[in-house]
Amino acid sequence: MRENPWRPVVVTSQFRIVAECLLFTLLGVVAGGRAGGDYSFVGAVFLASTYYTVSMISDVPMRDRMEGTYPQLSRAGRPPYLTFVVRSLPVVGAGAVAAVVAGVVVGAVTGRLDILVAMAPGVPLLVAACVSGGAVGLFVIAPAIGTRYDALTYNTMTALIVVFSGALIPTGRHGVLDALGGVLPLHHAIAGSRAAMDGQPWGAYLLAEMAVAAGWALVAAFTYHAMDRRGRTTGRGAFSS
Amino acid sequence: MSGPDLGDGAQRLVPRRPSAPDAVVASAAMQVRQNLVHPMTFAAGVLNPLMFLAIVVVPREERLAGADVTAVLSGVTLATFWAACVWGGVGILRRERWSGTFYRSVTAVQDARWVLLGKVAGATALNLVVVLASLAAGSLVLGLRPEVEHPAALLLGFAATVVSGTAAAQLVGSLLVVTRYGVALSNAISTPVMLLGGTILPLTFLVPPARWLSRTISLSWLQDFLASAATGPVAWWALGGAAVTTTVYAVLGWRLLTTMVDRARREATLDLF
Repeated sequence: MRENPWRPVVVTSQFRIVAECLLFTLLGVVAGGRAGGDYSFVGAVFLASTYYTVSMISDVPMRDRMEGTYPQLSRAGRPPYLTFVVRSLPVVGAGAVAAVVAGVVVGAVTGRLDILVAMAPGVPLLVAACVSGGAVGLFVIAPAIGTRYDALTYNTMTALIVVFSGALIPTGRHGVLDALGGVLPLHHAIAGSRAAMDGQPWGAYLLAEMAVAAGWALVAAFTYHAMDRRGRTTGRGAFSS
Repeated sequence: MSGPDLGDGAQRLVPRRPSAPDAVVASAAMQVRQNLVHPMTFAAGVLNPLMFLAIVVVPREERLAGADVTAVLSGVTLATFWAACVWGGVGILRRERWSGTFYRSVTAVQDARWVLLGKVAGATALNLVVVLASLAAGSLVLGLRPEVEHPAALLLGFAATVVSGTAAAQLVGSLLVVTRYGVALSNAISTPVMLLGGTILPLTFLVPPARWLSRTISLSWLQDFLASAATGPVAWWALGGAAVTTTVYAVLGWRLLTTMVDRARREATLDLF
């Protein structure tokens, strides 16, 4: 929090997040009228968390590299990845808060607060989506740390999530979209949220989202471990001491 | 080079000051070469347009055809082009400062404003080409066939888009380079312009007061002009509107940059540039 003073963060980041949530909701109206807007609003609220969980979370591992503190981290008693995970928790929390704030503002502006209230019992789904987003966010930045491709990695992942998660493009129409979306963050959580609003059970969706989070967390753990070993062994790369 | 004859056949060589057009063209070419290998060109020029094309077209219940395809494609082009220009304009000026070349440009023989104008123009032109290529590919995949009855007007519209994008990027870049939150502020600006610009979100979806605000954004005029190239009549009034707003951006951007440099000279903070 000290590194990110709240005033510019609130004014700029949250403003952009709310504006995007509104844009996505209105694009749903353009595509499918009121019903289309309702559909997109649910997805847009979840997508609002990705600014933090997929994009901003990249600062967590990159900071150690930039400030030269990674060697100490590497020689510590625990894997560096665990430190990154713990440091990422406030960012994941910020993603959840950002999504709620965006939902309240856009819901009020577009007359969809009733939808937000209907989504409320499914808050664990939002939390799971933020955790899975954070896991994938930590993974995608790992190979790009120390290169010029850092922004490209999380932008690419965000674009994939926007298109394939079912947030804005209805699922069940394209097999390829659904198959890819099934392994990406937010897909199951959003589907669960919509099921919850229809009065259907959403426990299976929550478990699926948590499985996605665990899968990406494992992949990230392996990636950071491999990069740390490479740095120790060869003395090269972003994670060298 | 040339110089006075010193009598023994030797000449004192005096460097010829490059003209402003030379400086603009050289800077533009250099920036294009830099941006061609920059990863963000792919993110802003390929990923973003394809993402917005997908979310604007695929969820629609009715298949788009004819003039509607042209309107949607021009809207996505302008919206994503704008985002790329804002990012690029801020990025160019910030990199100039970080690398120390802004200071050298300001104290060089050529006016730094022409150098920066060239860089921003080059980046803007490249942005449009990459966005158009990406959307052409995306249109093929999605089976979209735009209708263009006035191709000359469409090309003129694209040229106007580059000019307008250059002016806007220079203005935004000059505004944001003086703060350390420039990147964050540029993030905050890009999405509201997508909301208000009348590009991917038609102006009819905005409340009336917001529509007036949209008309201060050159994109809304360019969108009307480009969309009119589909079936005609060509909306020359929209091109006029784009010209007026672009001129305002250009004048403000030029004055702002001048003011910034003059202030730095007075406060002896030029070495911080």
